[in-house]
Amino acid sequence: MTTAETDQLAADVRAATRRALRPRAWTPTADLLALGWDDLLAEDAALAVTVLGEESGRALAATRLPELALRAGLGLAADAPPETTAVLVAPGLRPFDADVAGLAWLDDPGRIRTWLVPVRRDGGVALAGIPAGAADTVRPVGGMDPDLGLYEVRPGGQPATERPCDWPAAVSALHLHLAAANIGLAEAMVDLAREHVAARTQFGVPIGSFQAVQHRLADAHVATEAARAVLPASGAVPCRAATSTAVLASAWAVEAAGAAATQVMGAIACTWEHPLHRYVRRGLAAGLWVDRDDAARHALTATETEEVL
Amino acid sequence: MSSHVVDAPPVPRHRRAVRAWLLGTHDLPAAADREPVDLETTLAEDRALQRRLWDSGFGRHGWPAEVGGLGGDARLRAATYEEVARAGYRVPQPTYTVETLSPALLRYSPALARDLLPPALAGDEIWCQGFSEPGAGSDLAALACRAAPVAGGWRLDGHKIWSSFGHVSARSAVLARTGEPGHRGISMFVVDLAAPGVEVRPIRAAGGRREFAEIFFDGHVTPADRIVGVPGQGWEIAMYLLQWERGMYAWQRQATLRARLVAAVAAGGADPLSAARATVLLAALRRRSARTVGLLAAGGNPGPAVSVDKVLLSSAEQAVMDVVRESAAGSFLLGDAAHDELRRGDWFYSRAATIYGGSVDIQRTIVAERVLGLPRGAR
Repeated sequence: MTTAETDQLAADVRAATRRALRPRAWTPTADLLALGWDDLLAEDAALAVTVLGEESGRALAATRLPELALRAGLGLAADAPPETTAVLVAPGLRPFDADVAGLAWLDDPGRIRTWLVPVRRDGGVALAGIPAGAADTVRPVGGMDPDLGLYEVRPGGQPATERPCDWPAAVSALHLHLAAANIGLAEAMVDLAREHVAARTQFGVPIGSFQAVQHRLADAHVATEAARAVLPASGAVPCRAATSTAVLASAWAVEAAGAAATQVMGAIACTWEHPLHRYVRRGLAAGLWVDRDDAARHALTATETEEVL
Repeated sequence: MSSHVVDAPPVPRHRRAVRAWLLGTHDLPAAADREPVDLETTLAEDRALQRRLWDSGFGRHGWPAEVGGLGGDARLRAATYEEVARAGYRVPQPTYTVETLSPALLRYSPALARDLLPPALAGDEIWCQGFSEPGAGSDLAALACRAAPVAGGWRLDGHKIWSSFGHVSARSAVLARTGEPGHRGISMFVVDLAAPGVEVRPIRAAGGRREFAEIFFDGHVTPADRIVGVPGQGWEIAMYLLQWERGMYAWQRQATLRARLVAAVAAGGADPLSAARATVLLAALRRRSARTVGLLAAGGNPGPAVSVDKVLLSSAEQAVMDVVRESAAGSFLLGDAAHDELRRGDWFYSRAATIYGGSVDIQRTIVAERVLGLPRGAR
């Protein structure tokens, strides 16, 4: 595809995604798959992951997109459809050892027939299939971001199947999703703050005219633009060096935007009623899936030889 | 001269050719890991490398034939600088000002560019900016240096300051007031610093080197044809020139800083998260400054968003030098070897990164008001 064709595809996908997402609520996975997810992945995987990711972040939509991205990284075959299988993950996306108690994004736990579990094996990671059953313990997760649609799952059964898997590729794809989602979140927070500081007056002028306020939001914008600059937004899902760079940059942007927005919006941003805390919660919860030390090590291996001129 | 111009190579092919030449040439000066402590010797070596690049032809790619170039656009020059840094050499520091001033000169005074630029491009001369004054820093339009029309040219009286490499420069692009107060009354001149009525005094920077200078004009008469553009056009030219500083200077710095960071990380002792943060900032700066260089090369206007790049450059510069400082803590604090002195000098120079070329505070205001659309504040 030419750059113009890629841009057009991104614009079309973005518009369709905006229509499909339910702002500040759970969006059924079927609605996302109906966007032509599989075809999009085949056409431009990074574009699919990042456009949907960014829009879900901006809309504060809870979705199964993190897992869909992870599945894209794994290249799961048709015998493991998202309608009846779910991937279990652990914080930091570390593979499981003996004890399997993980987290899953679920529409309806009752429809899952098989839990797909990354387990550590000699020299790598395998994906075990554990049949779902009555002995499973499945409960919704509350915590920092109770709207995420996350469940804690402790399968009662034993692995019935096992297949090799490229877990680093799965981590890479999920991090690409998170990086884009964080950028959307950060921009949404800066937008909320922009509206507030333009309308709110003190000392007879809008508080957005004060440098102390302006510079905080400018720094949040710079951090967000830095994250956008290093987001691999088209092509195949790249290696961990690139996605680690992207996810770290986006995590710093979310932190900068959350802190700046909370401060310049004053007391109203500290209330339950105002939505800002939900964005802050989403940004913090994204940290669940990033082992920063590990990501830092990968980011340091980036060679920066891509031709950008 | 146009007969010397061949079809400009695409950037990747140019890169490969430069890389091969750098790899196969073993007597080049300005190795990054053997930098002299004093700036003057460093600049002499840098100029020698610039000359070798020019003579090889690779330094001429990206410049128009009128000034001795081989054609093609600024992206070729950008690729050359990055390859130089990757090969373990210093990006010649005189090219920083060359890259900032030359595009403006070529655009606004092609004849002056043709007559004066070649020695600066080839490394035979260093040029400097003559913009800031003791009373005009961030508020550059408040500058007071005057240029009055006299027989044979313009008489300059005033005081410039913070001109990088001023005391070793042959010429300076000077902004002076030729008309009304404010930005409309400003013009730009190319002034010979060795001429009568000009005195240049170096200033020793916190890091120890004589990084910048003061320039005093006391009745100096600069020839009439040394005005850039037309009287009153100085502000417009300065704003155009600053975009190149945001684009090409940022690009040159990211290439240099990346080499520093890679060396510091390879030497061990760097905190991985701090090093990763510096890496991420550099990666972002590389992509953004490349886009700006490409846009400028195509004749476009990057607009106020380049202020984002300037904030990024400042953050990246300081993040990298903090990693260098922390990873060599003992010798950074206690060592007396030349490279310890240089590291400390680089670290202090990075503290100036939030100030030179338009302070980040001004850039943040531009981002807030002109990119984010916040209400305009008091000045």
